Amino acid sequence: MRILVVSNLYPPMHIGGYEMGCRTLVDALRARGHDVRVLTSPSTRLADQPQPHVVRTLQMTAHTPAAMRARRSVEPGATVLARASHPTNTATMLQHIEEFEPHCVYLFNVFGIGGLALMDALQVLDYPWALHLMDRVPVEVSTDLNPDVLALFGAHDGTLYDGASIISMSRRLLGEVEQLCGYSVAQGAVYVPGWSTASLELPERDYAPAGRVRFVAAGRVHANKGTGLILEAAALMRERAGIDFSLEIYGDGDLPWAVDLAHSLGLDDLVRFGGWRSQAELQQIYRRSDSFLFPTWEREPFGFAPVEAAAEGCVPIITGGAGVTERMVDGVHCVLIDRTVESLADAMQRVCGGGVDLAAMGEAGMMLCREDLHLDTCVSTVEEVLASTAHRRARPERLDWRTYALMALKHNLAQQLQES
Amino acid sequence: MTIAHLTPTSFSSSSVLGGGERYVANVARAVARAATADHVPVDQRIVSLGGERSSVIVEGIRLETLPNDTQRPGPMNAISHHLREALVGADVVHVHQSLTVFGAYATATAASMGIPVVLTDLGGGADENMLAGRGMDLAAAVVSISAYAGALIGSSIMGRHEVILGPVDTETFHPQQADGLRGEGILCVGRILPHKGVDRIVRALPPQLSLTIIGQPYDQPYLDLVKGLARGKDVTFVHDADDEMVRRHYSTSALLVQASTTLDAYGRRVEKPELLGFTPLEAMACGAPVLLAKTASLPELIAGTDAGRLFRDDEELAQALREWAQGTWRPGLSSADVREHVVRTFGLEVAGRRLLEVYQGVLD
Repeated sequence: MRILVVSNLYPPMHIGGYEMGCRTLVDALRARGHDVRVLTSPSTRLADQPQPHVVRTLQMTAHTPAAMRARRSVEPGATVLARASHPTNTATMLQHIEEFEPHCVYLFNVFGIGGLALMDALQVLDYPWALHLMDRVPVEVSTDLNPDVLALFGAHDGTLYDGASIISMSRRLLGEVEQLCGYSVAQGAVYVPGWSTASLELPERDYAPAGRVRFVAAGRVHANKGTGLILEAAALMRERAGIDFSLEIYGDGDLPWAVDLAHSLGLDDLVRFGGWRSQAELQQIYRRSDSFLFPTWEREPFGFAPVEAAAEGCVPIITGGAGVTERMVDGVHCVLIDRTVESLADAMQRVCGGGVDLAAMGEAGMMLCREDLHLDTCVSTVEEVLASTAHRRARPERLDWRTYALMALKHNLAQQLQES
Repeated sequence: MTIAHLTPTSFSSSSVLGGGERYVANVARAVARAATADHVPVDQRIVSLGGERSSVIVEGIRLETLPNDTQRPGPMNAISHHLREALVGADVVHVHQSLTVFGAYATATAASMGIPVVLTDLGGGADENMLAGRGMDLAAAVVSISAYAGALIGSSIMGRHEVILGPVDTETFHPQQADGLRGEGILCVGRILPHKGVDRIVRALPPQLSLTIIGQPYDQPYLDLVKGLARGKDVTFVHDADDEMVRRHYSTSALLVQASTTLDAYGRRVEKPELLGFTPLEAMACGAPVLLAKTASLPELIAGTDAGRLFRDDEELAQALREWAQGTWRPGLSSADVREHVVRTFGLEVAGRRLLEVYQGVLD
């Protein structure tokens, strides 16, 4: 199949798991012989390998430091460009459809590049397209827009998505989208979870050598991800005499805040901040750690990190309700907690006290991550979705200039309606 | 063939009353008439905005009203978030008031659904998204209601362009025996607004003539101005006339005068003052001769006939009225011939057949 992938960011430029997941799937689809072209925005980081299949001509109008601090685009015009319609990006996508003639257009995160218009153009063309949700994109591209603008693109009642194949990482994520948007995705979704890329062979490993449990956390260092909870739970554990453990925290993010917090809690000698690590390095770290701490926010769409940890036998402690808990079972593959300091500290204490059979749970997790939650399984599902999407709809033989004119009119109208 | 007519305001007492609203109703009736005559199966609906959601069938045409969902003020900015639902099943969408926000939104919605769009400018705006933004390129056809109206947007039209004057409802507007003889008074009919130039007629009115002004006042200061000018003259104002009363006046008045202007009583320039003069057409359908300003589309209404007379400015208007009072000017056509001119050129069936050809053409 020829597949045109559209994503706001693409590694090496990335923020989190969404972009990394997109690249992993693109690489896997290419490895299976598909002709994949990625349309994305420029990167300010250098790729470690040539990316001839990546076209970086989209214009990204969000995710600037100022916009991220404000959590929204301030200017009405900027809001339209980021969320509703960016005429250059829409025309660019249409040109690539004309030239590349993909069997299917495969969208990832389209926030910041005028996502509504991109999807609407595909809908207008009746083109085969799929949307892979790793976050609540339909919510993000609708926020702060005038209801008239939403209706213009069919985003007020969900008709925008009528023709799409929806892939969601979790039921939780789709449910959140439907609840916040106020409509149901009539055609439902195919669920493709986060995955592990581990080799199928189970690693040999041990647990809590010399009775000292090694806790680890990795990912963005941020309050949403539970970094503060982890540090406060560690302090609480220290107060409980006789508990011996270590804690390593890896990843970028708000490190100054986290380091200060650890210092104020008197954890300087217990906690080690390891900074950003490559995937290969993290695999080794997980293999020599006993338990992975993931007290993320309840609305976590899925969470790649606990899967990657579990694949190495590192038993995750996870906030109940996070998307990944639809696949990992409490007491079998992981330990579920409420998102509180006390609940996390209690779970850590049970691990340290031998109340959790780390070896059994670790093995179950390693097996799960080599079967249902393995990349090969997920790519096969994605392949099936894309193939059935491509077959379900006949692609238009050629694009009509009217599509460009229509999208231009809609853009101009959106700007006018948003500004008034 | 299912045709959906989209209009921001409907032709009803609860909505705005003007030529634009009357036009849409006439179009639907004309198309129905022509389709019946030519045995073409046609289903029509008129979708208008601004009231409570309703759907009724009148004379075989479904009238659907959708709420105006936008916060933007003004009927020409009306937007329904449920427009898509109302267009399901339509083969052709005719967007009236196309050069407005409403028109742009309706055009975008219909085009998104892959339905061929026919556009008509009935005034109400000059939307930049449709003109400079080239939204009109999306039209499968443009129907202009006069050559004048067509000339205003000619440079923005890429595809098929038809000028179809009318349709005039010659069934409603015709003289009846019970009306009695045509009198001596002259008549002015239309919304009492500055661009209609009512003040010009009152100023030019000679003492021998009486004038009846029929129309709803939409501009109180202007009404006050006109009433001030009428002081001491034989002028009667009627603000609550229904169609039948208007018809009777058309049938019994000696002459209809329309003095629409591009420069109003306050010195303001008026754009697109008269894309199509419905009032003179309806008056002529009732056999009344007309005295018309050489403004916008008005000269087209009597082109090639002696159904009336044109005037260039206030002086020529006054001169024509003086000659009328003295009996030195009368049109060459009889009342019956004046009506025949309208039926033959602008009537329901004639215009309906041409509109039907346009709709069939865009489907081909």
